[in-house]
Amino acid sequence: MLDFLNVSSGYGKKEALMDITFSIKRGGFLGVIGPNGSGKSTLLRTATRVIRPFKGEVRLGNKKIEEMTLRQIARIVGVVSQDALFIFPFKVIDIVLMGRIPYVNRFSFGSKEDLRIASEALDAVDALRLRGRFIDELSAGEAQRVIIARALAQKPQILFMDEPTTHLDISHQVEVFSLLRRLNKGSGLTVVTILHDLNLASEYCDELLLLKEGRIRSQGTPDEVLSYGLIEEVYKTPVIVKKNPLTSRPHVFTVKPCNIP
Amino acid sequence: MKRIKPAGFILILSLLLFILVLVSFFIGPVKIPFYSVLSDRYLDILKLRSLRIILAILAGAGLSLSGLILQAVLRNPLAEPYILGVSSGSGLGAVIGLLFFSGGIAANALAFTGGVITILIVCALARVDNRISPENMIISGILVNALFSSLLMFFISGSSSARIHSIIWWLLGNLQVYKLSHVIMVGLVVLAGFLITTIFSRELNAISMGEEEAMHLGVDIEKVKRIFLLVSALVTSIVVSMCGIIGFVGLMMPHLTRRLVGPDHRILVISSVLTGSIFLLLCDAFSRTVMAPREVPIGVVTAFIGVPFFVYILRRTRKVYFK
Repeated sequence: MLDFLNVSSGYGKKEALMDITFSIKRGGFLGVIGPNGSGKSTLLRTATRVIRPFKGEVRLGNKKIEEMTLRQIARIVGVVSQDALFIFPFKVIDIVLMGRIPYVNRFSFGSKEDLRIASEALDAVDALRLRGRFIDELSAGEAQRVIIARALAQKPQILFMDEPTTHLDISHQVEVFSLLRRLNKGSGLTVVTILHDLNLASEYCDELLLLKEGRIRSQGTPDEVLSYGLIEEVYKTPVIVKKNPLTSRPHVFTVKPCNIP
Repeated sequence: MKRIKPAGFILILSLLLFILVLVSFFIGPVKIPFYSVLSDRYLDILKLRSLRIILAILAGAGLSLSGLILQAVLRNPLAEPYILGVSSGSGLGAVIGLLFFSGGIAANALAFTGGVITILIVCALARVDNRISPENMIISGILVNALFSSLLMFFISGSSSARIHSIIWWLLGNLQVYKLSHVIMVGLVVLAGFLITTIFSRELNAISMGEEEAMHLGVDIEKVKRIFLLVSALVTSIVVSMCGIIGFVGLMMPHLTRRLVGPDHRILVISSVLTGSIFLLLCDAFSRTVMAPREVPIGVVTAFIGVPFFVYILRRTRKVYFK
C-alpha cells in the first residue's frame, strides 16, 4: 500500500529523514513513534507529498507518488493532522463535505451522493448529531472527530493521523482508537498514526516504527520494538516495561532517576 | 446564529444595488428633476454621475473582494486590502506622478505600478524554500509599508502647500472620474478578479483551514496562493490608482457578509462583492450631499458610517468577535 525506498527528506537543505525504507501492506495498522524531532511529522509530510523527498522513492499503491497530482493522492490518502484551523465558523457538515473536494466538480455544492457519504462519515465517528453545529462551538474531542469524518469522506484507502489523541482525555482516546480499529478491521482501511503515547501504540497498533534522529531504529510488533533497552537508548530516559495483565501487550513506565537502585 | 438563505440574499442585494444606482443619479449638488432626465440640459452632469456611480460600484466590489481573499489566504481576520503595503506603494507612485509628471494619467499609472511592485517585493521577502509563508507576508508587508510611507512623507515634506493639498486629497480617496476609458480599465481588472476568485472559491474554503490541510484535500497550494495574491494585488492597485485610499470597505464588508451568509466562499465571494458595492455607493451618496456643494472625502465617510453599522451587526449576530 505504502512503500518508502531509501528516502531522504527534510526542509530547505536540512535533512530530517535519512535513508528510510519500509512498507506497509493493505489493511495494516502502523504506529510511528520516536522522540520529538526524530522525523515523525516529516515522514508523514513526505508520505502525503506535502514535501518532496531529496532522494529515494515513495510509492502509494504501486504508483510513484512523484507522478501523481495532489488531487489523485487525496482520493487515496486521508490525513488527520494536528493543526486544522477554524478561523471562520463553518458548519460541521460543510467541513465534512470538504472531504469531497478531491472528487467533485469545482462548482458543485455537493450532490445527494456526496451528502450521503459525508453523513455516513459523521455517523462512523458517532458525530451525526453535530452536523448542524458550528465547528468553533465544539469541544476538542468533538472537533477531532469531525476532522476524522472529513478524512473518511475522502473515501481513503489509507488514513494518516498525526497525534490524534493529543487533546483528548483517556475515554476519548480509547474511543478514537477503537473507531480506527473498527474501520481497519471492518473496511480494510490502512492506518498509519504518529503517537507519543507508547502504551496506546502498544495496545492498538499491529506494527511499530521507532525513529531516532531521522533514521529507523527498529521496526516490528510492539513486543519487539518496546523493549526497555531500545526505549532507554532512543528516548534517553530510564524506563520499565511490563505486560498489560489483560492483553499482555507491553507497557512502558517512566522511572524517576532518583528511584533507580 | 441564524443565517440567511444565500439565493434570496443575493437577489435582495442585487435589487438593493439597482435601486441605489437609480437613486444615486438624482443625488448631488445639482438637483435634477425627474421629468427632465432625458433633456439635453443635464446630459453632461448625468454622464459624470454615471461614471462616478460605476466607479463606486467597481471600487467597492474590488476592495471587498481583495479583503475577502487576503483574510482567507493569510488566515487573519484583520487582513484587509492594504495589509501588504499596497496603499503606501500606490501612494508613493501617485505622489511621484503628481510631483514629477504633473499628475494626470501618469499619476494613475505610477500608482498602479507602485501597488503591484509592492506586493511583488513583499512576496519575494516572504519566500522560504520556494514557499510563500503567510506569517512572513504580514511582517514583510509592515516593513515595506513603513519604508514606502517614510519615502512618501519625505516627498510631501519637500512639496509646496498647493501640491500638498492635492496629495492629501488623493490620499483621502476620491471617486470622481472624467473618462470612460478609466472606468473600463478598473472594470476589466475587477471583473477578471471576481471571476477568477469565483472559480477558485472552494480552494479559499480549504485554505482558510490551513495550508497543509488544503494540500491534504488535493489543493495545489502554492499555485493557488500565487493566483490569489496576484488577483488581490492587481484589483487593489487598480482601485487605489483611480480612487486613492478608501479604507474600511475591504476590512469590514467581508466580515459583515460572513456574518450574514456564513463562511462558505462559494456564496461569500459574490455576496461580499455586492455588499461592498452597495456600501461604497451609499457612502458616496452621503459624501456628495451631507455638506453640499462641498464634498466630504469618501475615506472619511466609509469609516464614519461603517463603524456604527458594523458595531450594530456585531452586537446583533454574535457576542464573540473571534476565537
